[in-house]
Amino acid sequence: MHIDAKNLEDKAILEADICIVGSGAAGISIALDWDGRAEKVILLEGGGFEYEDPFQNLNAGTTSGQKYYPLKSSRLRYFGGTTGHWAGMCAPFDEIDFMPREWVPHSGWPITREELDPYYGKANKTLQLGPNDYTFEYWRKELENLNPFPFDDQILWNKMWQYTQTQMGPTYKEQIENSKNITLYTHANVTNIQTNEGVNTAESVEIRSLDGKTQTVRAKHIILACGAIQNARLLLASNQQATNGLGNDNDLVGRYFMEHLEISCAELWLSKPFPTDLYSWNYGVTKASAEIGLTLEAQKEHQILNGTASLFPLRIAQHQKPRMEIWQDDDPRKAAEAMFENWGTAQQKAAAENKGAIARAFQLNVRIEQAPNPNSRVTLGTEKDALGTPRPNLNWELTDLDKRSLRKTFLIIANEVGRSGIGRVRLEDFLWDEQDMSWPEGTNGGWHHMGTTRMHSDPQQGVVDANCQVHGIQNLYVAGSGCYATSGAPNPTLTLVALSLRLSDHIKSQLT
Amino acid sequence: MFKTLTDNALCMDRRRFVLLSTIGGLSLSLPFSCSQATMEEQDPQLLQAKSLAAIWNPDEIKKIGDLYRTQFPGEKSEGVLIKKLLAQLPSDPSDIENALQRLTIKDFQDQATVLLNGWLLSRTEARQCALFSLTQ
Repeated sequence: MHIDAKNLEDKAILEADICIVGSGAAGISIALDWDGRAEKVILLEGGGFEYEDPFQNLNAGTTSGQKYYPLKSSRLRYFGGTTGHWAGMCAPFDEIDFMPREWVPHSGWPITREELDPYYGKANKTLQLGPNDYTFEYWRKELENLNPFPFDDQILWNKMWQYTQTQMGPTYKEQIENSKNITLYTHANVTNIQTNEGVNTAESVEIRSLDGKTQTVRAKHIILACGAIQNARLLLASNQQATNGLGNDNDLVGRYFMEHLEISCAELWLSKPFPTDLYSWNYGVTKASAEIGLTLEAQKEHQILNGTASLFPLRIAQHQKPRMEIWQDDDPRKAAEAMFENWGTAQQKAAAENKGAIARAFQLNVRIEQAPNPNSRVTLGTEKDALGTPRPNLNWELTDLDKRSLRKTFLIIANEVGRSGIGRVRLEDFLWDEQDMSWPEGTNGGWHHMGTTRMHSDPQQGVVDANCQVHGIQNLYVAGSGCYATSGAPNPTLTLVALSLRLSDHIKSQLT
Repeated sequence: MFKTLTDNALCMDRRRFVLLSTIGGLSLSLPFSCSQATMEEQDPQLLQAKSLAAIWNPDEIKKIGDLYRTQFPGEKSEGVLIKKLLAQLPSDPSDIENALQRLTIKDFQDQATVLLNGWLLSRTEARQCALFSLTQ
């Protein structure tokens, strides 16, 4: 069922067994998992079904530290969330991502990759991907021309991605609207979470509308699923009963914000053409492809972070501007338009350059985890939005381990390229000097927001426990990549859907 | 310049001559009567450092070579460079090309590499570039 919250009476009280705040990948995945059950589910979405600027404007905030995208255009506030403009790249986290690593401060999840595996299978279905097999060996049999570079597999490996064009909103709108036990409320922006007097049980959430009306949703279990920045913002802003915000007794909410660094790091020049489609991605066409990753052993030996390198034709890449430079409009539609325009121009300029050595040269782009850093954080600003909620400030901060890992990763890849005889690699100049810890202007993030309500068994080290329950508040949960203890190598969506489905199962186990 | 180089080469150690011609796309025409081992059977095009010659033109090779000699001032002379290269090469000049390729691979295996203008190169091929830069 769908109800537009604009049509609700002022001071209305709604009741449910489960209240899910946010209808992006996490929120919709959880809601679908309850479809057809006896329990009553309320799914709250702050926007409508399409982009509406007054609601999108509620996402606006400020940034400090390392240059970042505008917060307003980094996420989408309408049904389906940021899957409304995502690239659909999916890969599971690696085993090492869950392990404590002595060279990565604050690493280690309270769950293992193995515990998440059953949910990766379900997540694959929710995101309408292929089979839950991300091994190179499987895809080499399925697809043609996936010839790997002849690298030492003790050092480098081919991490596989699958691709989907699923946008959660259009894909699942009908099912949610037709559900007998799920009620979706659009234009329902949560501004506060109410607990009992002891602040150990969440009782309700407050919805506020732009025309000044408020409503209350009471639920037995409340799940925050509005993205890492908004989840942290909501917890911090819910400070009437806990002055520092809910779940924030140890000053951890908002901290450890992590991105994926997605930066042009090097050039690969092949001595002769290498026949392969393994490393190519054609949007809407490619089912699976690989990025070059460092093995667990190589990461351990060199004490570096987990990441991969992707290939992109250099003749096109050399004409592209960094995304961080182009994606600076507050309006996500205009920001995306500017980016695609730049890409189109680059394609045109490159059309005449598909000959000679550059025809077999590739830009090597990294996608690497960011080391957990407590000073990289979301806080509340002084300015308030139209609903009276303090706007968020994101202070994005990187560490020397991030820079050192980048440099070492590409030196290792360059060495393997040379050793295998396929060509040579040239590092970008910001990686030449091992003492240089500065970052270039083109230091892109992947628009992947992680870690602000990190997971840890110890409430002094995490906001949520191994079941994504907020420490100390027995029925308040956080779903999504904000719970990540580390950010992993690949894009976060497949894993956040898996984690959300695991949370959903946990809540089911709590019902009596 | 090429004729002079060729004339001088006749008086040089054969291995040294081959070494000087193995980089940079130089195309040499050798007097048939002057060849001793199997030089007349070698296609000069084969004597190039294949990997780099496939990527760079002679100007770029020279630039890298200049950079190497600046970064490693102890190896800025032709004599020193040739000595260092020949020390690792076989006595049979006909096998020098293959030996250089093998040495280059071994350099990467042993991480005997240098970073020049961002390029990660084997020490051997960097020395070849340096040698080439002195011949231009």
